[in-house]
Amino acid sequence: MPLWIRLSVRYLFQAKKRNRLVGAAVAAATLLLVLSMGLLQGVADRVVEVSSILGGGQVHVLGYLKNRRSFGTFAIDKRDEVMALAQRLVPDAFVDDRIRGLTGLSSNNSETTCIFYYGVDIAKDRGLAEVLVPAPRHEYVDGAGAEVVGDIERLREPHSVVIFAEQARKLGVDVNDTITLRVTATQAIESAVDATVVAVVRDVPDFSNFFCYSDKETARTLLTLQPTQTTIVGLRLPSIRRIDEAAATLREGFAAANWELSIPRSTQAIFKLWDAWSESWIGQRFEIGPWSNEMWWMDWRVHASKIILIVLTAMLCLVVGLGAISATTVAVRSRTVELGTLRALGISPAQLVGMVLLETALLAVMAVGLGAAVGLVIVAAVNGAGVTLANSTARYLLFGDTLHMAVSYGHLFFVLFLMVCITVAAALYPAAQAARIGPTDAMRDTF
Amino acid sequence: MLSRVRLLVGLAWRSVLAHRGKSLTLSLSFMLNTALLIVIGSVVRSSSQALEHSLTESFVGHLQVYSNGARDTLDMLVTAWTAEQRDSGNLKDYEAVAKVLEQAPEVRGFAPIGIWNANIRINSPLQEKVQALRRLYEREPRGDAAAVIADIRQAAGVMLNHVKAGYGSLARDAAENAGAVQALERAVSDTFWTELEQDPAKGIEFLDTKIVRWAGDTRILRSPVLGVDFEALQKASGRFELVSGKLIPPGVRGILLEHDRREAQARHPVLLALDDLAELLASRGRLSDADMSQRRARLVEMYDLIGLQLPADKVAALRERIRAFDPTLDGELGAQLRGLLAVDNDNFAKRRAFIYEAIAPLLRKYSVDVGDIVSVNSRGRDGAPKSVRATVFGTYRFRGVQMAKHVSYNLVDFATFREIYGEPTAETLAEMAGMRERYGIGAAEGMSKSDEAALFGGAFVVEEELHAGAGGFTALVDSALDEGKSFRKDAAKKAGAATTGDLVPAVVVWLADEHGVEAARARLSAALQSAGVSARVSTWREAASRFATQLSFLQVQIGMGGIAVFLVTLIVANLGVVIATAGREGEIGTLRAQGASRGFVLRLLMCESLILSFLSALVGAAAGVALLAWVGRYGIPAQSPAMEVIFGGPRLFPVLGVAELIGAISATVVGSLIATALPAFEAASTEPQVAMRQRW
Repeated sequence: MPLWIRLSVRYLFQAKKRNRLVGAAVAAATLLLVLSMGLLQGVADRVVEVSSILGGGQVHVLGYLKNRRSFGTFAIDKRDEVMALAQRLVPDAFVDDRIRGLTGLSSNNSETTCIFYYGVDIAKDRGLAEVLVPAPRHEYVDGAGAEVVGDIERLREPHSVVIFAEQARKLGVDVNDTITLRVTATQAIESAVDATVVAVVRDVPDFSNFFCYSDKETARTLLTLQPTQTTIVGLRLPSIRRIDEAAATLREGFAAANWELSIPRSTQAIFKLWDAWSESWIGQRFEIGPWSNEMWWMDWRVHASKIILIVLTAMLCLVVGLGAISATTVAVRSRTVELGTLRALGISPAQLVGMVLLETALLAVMAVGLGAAVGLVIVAAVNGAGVTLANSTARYLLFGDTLHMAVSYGHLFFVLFLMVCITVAAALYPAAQAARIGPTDAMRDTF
Repeated sequence: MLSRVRLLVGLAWRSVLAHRGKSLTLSLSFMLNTALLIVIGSVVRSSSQALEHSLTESFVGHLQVYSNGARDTLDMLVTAWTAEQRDSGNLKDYEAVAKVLEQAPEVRGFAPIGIWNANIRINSPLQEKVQALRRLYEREPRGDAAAVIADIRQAAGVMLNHVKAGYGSLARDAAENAGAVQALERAVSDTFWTELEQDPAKGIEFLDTKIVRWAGDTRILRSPVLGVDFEALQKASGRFELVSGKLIPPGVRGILLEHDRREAQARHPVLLALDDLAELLASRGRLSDADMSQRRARLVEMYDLIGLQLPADKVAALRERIRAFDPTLDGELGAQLRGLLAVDNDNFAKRRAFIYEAIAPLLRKYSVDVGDIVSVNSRGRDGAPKSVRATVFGTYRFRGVQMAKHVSYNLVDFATFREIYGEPTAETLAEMAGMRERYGIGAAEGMSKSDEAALFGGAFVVEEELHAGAGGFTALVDSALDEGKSFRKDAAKKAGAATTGDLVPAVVVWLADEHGVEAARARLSAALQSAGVSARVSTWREAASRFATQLSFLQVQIGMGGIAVFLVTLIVANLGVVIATAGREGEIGTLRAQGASRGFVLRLLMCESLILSFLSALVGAAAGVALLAWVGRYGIPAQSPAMEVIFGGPRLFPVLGVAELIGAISATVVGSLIATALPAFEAASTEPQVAMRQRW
């Protein structure tokens, strides 16, 4: 190993006090970044996860079926074929279908509209039972106790429906009451069915007003679909980081299989359908896109988190960079004698620059690694402890009942690498100053 | 005392200058901290103010007064789907409320408002033409229908050619498709039009039932409507802006469409698709072959939406223009249009410009335009379907508030709103109560509202249609005003009913001082109570809670960023001071050897830090102000429609606040003193002899 490398490693461990301080600053910045990333990514991931479970998948294959030029419905004619194709294209995804429509809910007391009405197979619908948590009765019946009645699993029963506490309050209904579901807007004919409320579930911010669930057969009857038909096929991926990639794969695969595709758009489903009515095509067409195309109103949270994270990273890197310039400049100046002596002993200016940079790089790697490791331990501890959020505003802001933190390792490593690079880059100027130190400086400098 | 301070400051200043290198690097951190804190603080405060202004200067106002008997709290930001779900009650004593508000000095203005959901169904252009034909044939003497007939034949020909040229079918079922083709062949034949001359009713019925259905492009604009007193709104709202057309004159029924929603939903589909593609190409430069191919395919299949609207007498000239534009675009009209719409990355800009220049003027740019008469349909509060014919007087927006994707209201006059809202009459309620009593049905049981409506309130309310005259929109407004005279007589009675209690769901209040919202709420609540009015008063934060909460979310996140930056700067400053003082142990030791006490050294180092941080903070503040001015010039782009609302428009233009300026400078100075305290204390504790011999 060349002498200058050995020297820089030795210096790193000799100047303990200074390096501890520099390392502490970099590690603290990294820790803050990991925690901020954990919190923001946690909220964003939770938004994606909950939204995609409630909406039936992270990637949607939505079917439009037009039997006549000027009228059509949401339907997928060949459900099994479409599901098989989706599964073949993204083999590690969980592929399931749901029957979706827009329905009005009526009780004896009141009415409300459920824009996202889903017919589901609760035995197969992965994750839904975990997100739909039965609410204590006092959340939807005035003066009731905290007892939980109703069971999501009863969605296996025919003519069963699950609604949110907010809807139950509006409709003035309790578990085991009967409500009427009716459709008009998306179908050629008006149809209605009665269904029993088998569970009233806890409100989920921004969803409770618009979502409700029934068993699949009830939905099929209500939306007058054939047994071979469905309306939406959803894919749940092992990682939510692969949503765009999976959607692109599906689009390519469906196009290659000669299915007609619509251009994915992020807007209300009913507007998409009305637009399809005005177009001249007939037959089956699919729109394949991420969950956010359907639940566009939730996308801003993910966007906001990403933007704030980018700005925060940039600011922290800037501060760390300036700190590194400051620390390295002082360190170089305080070592004028040593560096001058080394020059007298035959070390070249380039080797001096290399020494300073290597020392800074090693320090940055250790500090960044330490900060990240502590941060990751805290993230794991927070998630393991299941910190309950008592405040309703905090629950809304953090989108859940418990504090959830998540770290995207790809992003984390990129940011850590960036911080190391910035720290090293910040040391370039002081290192160049070190290269200008000559043997005579060492003789006269007492700093 | 003064001389000691002067000595301390003098020594500190000399020391700062003597260690210029260290001072400069340390001061950079302080400057950056100050600048970032100013920018972050100003962005948070500006977004808060922008949102507040966006909402309070629109229809939301500062305060809202609504009935105490409301089942739900008042939500001013409903969607088409949630408007009908909310019950905000009815103010029974509007006159008393108005009296209280008129007497309140803090109230700048107020307006009664109501929110409900309604659909506007827009007929396809072919359907409009068939209706025009019907009107011409019903008129005595019969009008000249040659142009209308030519247009209908042209449209039928386009559809027929669509099937015959193999571009597509009209129905999936072969027999149904064959029936459609047969009907279209009949519609383009001379025989049919000769027969229609003899029996117009039969011929028009054929067109209505067998032809129009294949033309598509029937549109539904689903949107909540806001019934409002326009005069009061325009006077009090600082952001109401008429984009096109005119305000609805007092006493006349009409509707103002929200500009952005109309752009998104009612613009001609081909023009909309071209604009979307232009926007995409502007942001990406080029599209991939696969992406462009898909978009091209969708554009090409829209060709008939042009063909169906073309006036028959302009077709020949247009075909010639297309041929002149590109000689390869030859063949029948359908083939030419399809060829023209087959765009790629290279020819798109040229073709779009040509379409806008040569074709767009021949089309209906919007499926609903200023001057049109539209059916506004709703299911009333009594459960019965309502339909009101209203003239589109114009389009509007609230300046700076881009809420189209989230919240968008069409505005109607209060008389029209009353019809759409359909409050059950006293008679209906009495009859329903009697029915319940007769059949022993309790309040929580029995029929739903819609069932009751089917029994008691099922009558459609259809207002008399106002036909556009020959003089265009101005004449139409005049004619509407004339017809409005008779309406106004009736309106006096109806307005009386509205203001005395039947139908005023809420009153929006604009305050003179936007900072006194809570105090004004308390005073108005007390005044209403003492006037014997049973009403609640909400603030804009409650009535627009959706956006207020989103703002909190953003502010918490940005605030966290600010705290993180401050903490890291503190650490970096601490590091800098430690290294700086450690490097000066010799100098400090000399001072101690010359008789300086530990306290003096400590004060000296703190004084140095104070001078350095204060001067750095001033420079940093100047940089922050400059950065803010630069950001304020271009604005921070909003990344989503919700952020557009929070930013009060597509970009946030942050403005510097004195509080942020003073706060950032103070935070930097205090932070630097905290960061200096420990290392300075350590340095001051150094014994002279140790300091003299130690090298770091």
